[in-house]
Amino acid sequence: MKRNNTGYIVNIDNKIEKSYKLVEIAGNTAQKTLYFRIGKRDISPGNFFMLNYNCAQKPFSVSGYDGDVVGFTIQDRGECSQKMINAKAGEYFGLTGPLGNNFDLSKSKNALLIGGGIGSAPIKFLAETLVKKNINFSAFFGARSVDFLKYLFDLDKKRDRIKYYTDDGTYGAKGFVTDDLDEALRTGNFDAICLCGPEKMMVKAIEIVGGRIKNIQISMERYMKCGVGLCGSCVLDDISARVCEDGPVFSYFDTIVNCREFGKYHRDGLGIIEN
Amino acid sequence: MSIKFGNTVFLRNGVLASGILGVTGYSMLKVAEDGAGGVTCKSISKIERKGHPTPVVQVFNSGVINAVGLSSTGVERTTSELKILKDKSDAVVIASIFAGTVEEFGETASMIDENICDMIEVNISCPNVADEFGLPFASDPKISGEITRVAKNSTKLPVIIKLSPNYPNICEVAKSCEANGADGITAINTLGPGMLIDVHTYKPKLSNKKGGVSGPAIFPVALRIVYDLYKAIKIPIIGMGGVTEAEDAIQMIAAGATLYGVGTGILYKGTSIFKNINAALDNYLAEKKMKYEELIGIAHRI
Ligand SMILES: Cc1cc2nc3c(=O)[nH]c(=O)nc-3n(C[C@H](O)[C@H](O)[C@H](O)COP(=O)(O)OP(=O)(O)OC[C@H]3O[C@@H](n4cnc5c(N)ncnc54)[C@H](O)[C@@H]3O)c2cc1C
Ligand SMILES: Cc1cc2nc3c(=O)[nH]c(=O)nc-3n(C[C@H](O)[C@H](O)[C@H](O)COP(=O)(O)O)c2cc1C
Ligand code: FES
Repeated sequence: MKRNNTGYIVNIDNKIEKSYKLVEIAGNTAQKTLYFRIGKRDISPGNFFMLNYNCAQKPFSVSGYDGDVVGFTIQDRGECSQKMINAKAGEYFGLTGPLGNNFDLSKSKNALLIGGGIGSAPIKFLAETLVKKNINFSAFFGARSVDFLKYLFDLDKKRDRIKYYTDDGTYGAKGFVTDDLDEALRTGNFDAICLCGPEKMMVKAIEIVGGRIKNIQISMERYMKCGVGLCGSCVLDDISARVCEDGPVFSYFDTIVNCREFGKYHRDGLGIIEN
Repeated sequence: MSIKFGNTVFLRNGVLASGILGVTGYSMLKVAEDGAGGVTCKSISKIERKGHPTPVVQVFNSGVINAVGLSSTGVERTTSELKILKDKSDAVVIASIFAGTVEEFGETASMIDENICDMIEVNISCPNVADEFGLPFASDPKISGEITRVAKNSTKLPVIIKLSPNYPNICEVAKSCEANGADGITAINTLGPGMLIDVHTYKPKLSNKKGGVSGPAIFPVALRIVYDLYKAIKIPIIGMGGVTEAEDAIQMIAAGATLYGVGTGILYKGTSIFKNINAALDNYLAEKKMKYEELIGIAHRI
């Protein structure tokens, strides 16, 4: 149902769950990418879907989309994610989406993309989109070990502009994804930064950037019960923004800079503050 | 414009329904800043309580079904969230409470801070946990009256009772609440329960299988109930259920509601729905050269 007589148009179709067959599941024990043939939809990097499998539902960012098949890369983190990565091709998942907003690099000529942990999933999709559009970028990806990075290796074409970091040195440089950031900013001529990953990593990155780049876009993660802007479980303190509906991508300097909980705390499913 | 609801003054005539964006202080504050005159928090219990596992909300063509369940962070934590709303806005702060026994309604009402909250809404109608608690209070006029009295005796704040549309004796329930001192009625809670089934797995789309129906689909039922209640009782009514635009709010008020409420409407129109409805309502009254008070219940007088 679409209503446009009052100016505020919400695409309700995207908020109605439909089920799709899992056409392929690939990856290793660290994480798997789940593919669904959903046909032609308006999906941009940063968008997410609510995935519902066997009575468990959580939000997952799109990690790839070719105009027909959509992929989600899921890391084993707990009950729901574990169930999902053990699913078999041919099984059905309920998908609600695409939801949320997206990274916007329409004004950028050369962006630096930084992904940490499973936060690299939407950054990978963003990088692929930039490759298609022939827009310049560099990307840094960091993870615990090589097993957590393998799904990114499809980005072959732009290998020269991509750097990998692992905590244990099993691939790329040993260390943190922010280790070369200062140097990169001095020499790279970047006009935008897109970040997704653990908040501690994003805080560190923003600290290193200082005020050198004004266009910083970050993708936030909060506990989501509904994903459609009603339940209130994902609202950020002080800025009153719903991560599911007003985000998940926010401008750092326009909004997150005033968000008291950024890098400090989040809430659990009940709404109780956790550090 | 300001409207008197019993002895409570609302500066704007829309109320945020319980359970929608009502967990954190800043979330509720945003809705007040976007034009709600009253803001209701998600129903709270004495102590912390878990709700149902996800999926708990499913959208369908003309509304939503939900089985969020009565999850609650407890009175204490929610009070500190409500304080943010109280300190930073001029909206009427409404604490929605629920409990498992008649006595517990009293204990919970007595825990609501009278300096932070302006009104208590007693949720006797949530269908989700009926199984767990045994009796659905809202189905029984006598028990609903008892709860009203116990709550009234436990607080100085005005007490309004939120009714369920799922029992045909809703007017009797309302009368019993009125006779026991209720200061107002909120109608309606979700309709149902309802269900949605996946067409490939044949499993229910909610983990709880069934859930309460809200949004445009239930508007005509909500309107009819407000109309019937206006005839049955004298205390004021907050009319909610499927309001998504000014014409819906006008109908609610014409049927007898003193204030209109919005929950699921936010899915369609965002939180600015209150601002937009209020502006359209002002224009409407100006065009009709009518006072707000004249519109209340007008459908009964012509
Ligand atoms: C917009 C968005 C996009 C996401 N995209 C992806 C994705 O592409 N791939 C992916 O694998 N996951 C993604 N997630 C995370 C995913 O939704 C689940 O939260 C995650 O899989 C854990 O769920 P679980 O049930 O398996 O674990 P749970 O049993 O719920 O939790 C496991 C552990 O994770 C912690 N945790 C859960 N939620 C949060 C949170 N919001 N912030 C901090 N810690 C938390 C818990 O405290 C617990 O220690 C995304 C989340 C959001 C909000
Ligand atoms: C997600 C959701 C959660 C709700 N939680 C509560 C609740 O905790 N307490 C309550 O009294 N009503 C609750 N309700 C019911 C609403 O307050 C309201 O009565 C009902 O949805 C009808 O209004 P609407 O169509 O404008 O949403 C909830 C409704 C929804 C959609
Ligand atoms: S997840 Fe429910 S409002 Fe964002």
